[in-house]
Amino acid sequence: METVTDKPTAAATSSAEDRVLVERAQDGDTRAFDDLVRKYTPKLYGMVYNMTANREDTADLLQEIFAKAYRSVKRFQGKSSFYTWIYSISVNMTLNFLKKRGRYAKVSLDDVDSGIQNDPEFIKVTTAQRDTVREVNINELQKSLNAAMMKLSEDHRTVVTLYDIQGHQHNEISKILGVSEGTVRSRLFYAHRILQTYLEDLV
Amino acid sequence: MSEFEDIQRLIRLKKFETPKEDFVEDFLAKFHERQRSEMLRQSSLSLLWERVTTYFDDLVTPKLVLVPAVACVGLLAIWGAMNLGSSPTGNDTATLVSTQTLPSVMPQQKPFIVDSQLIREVENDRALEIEGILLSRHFETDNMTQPEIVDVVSVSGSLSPVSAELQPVARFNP
Repeated sequence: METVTDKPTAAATSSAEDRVLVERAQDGDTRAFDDLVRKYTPKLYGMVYNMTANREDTADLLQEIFAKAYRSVKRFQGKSSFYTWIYSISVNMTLNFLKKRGRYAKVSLDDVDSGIQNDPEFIKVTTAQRDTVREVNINELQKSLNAAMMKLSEDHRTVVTLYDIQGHQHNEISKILGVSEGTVRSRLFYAHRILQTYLEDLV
Repeated sequence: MSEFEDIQRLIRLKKFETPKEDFVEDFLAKFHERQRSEMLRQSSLSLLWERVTTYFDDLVTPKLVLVPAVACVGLLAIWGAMNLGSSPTGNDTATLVSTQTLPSVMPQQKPFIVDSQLIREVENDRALEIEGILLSRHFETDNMTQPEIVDVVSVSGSLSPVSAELQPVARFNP
């Protein structure tokens, strides 16, 4: 696990690596783009999944996101980092998808991740937080968390996903969403208040 | 933010909801498949369109194109509104032509006149012919009381000077 002091250095190295990969991809090296896909798929998966709460939708949407990025990579001028750029594409496409899905279908909130129950790190954390997460079935906990997240508006869910779950900083989120840092903080505050209402039994 | 620490700790548990280990490689394989099938599905026309749009996208950024485009549309709208405002409210073309709008825009033109000796003579002939008919009618009415009537004998349409002669004729017998 990286420490706070390591974070800027790691981010700078990661950004430099991305720049090299992007330049190679812009020159037509498809393997460089594959490396970018490998690097960002797990991160973007977490973001999209926590927004949609559906695995199939997440996989389909990720395909669309990388297809769009592939078509546009030649136009990427490096004004922002690749990481900010790909996250902006992902957030916009996910929000558009949610608007469409909201009109035509309802997502099942029972769509929980069964694999997580065996995740050693998850077990360690939930065991350590026994005072916070009371004696509650992990499956039930997941359902409750998903349900609470889906109660949030799409804008609020986005900031909670990016800040609380993915660990981005306020300034990074403001760049990704194209809003001010104040707006990010305000959305977070209201989102936390709403979540507290729905999850008060668990804390 | 401390008042929400418990909630944040709880929500952070969702970061463990990650895809399975083989997901990324499967995803990449599907991505390649998708790219290939898209290439096959695309018609030559759509490929050409994509290349053209990509070329223009690289040439100028959309924001730079948008500004003059909006300015052009705005100017056209203002020009159209001004023209509509100055024109009469009538619908038909005749109304438009009869008003002062067109002469004020277009230069004043003289009426189309052909000055020709031949035309003048024909017009003169017609005037004389009408005069002759009127005279013959006049004498016809007089003929009721008088034994002789007068009729138009000759009306010439030649190039020579025209003259009408009134000569006594025999009584009209139908």
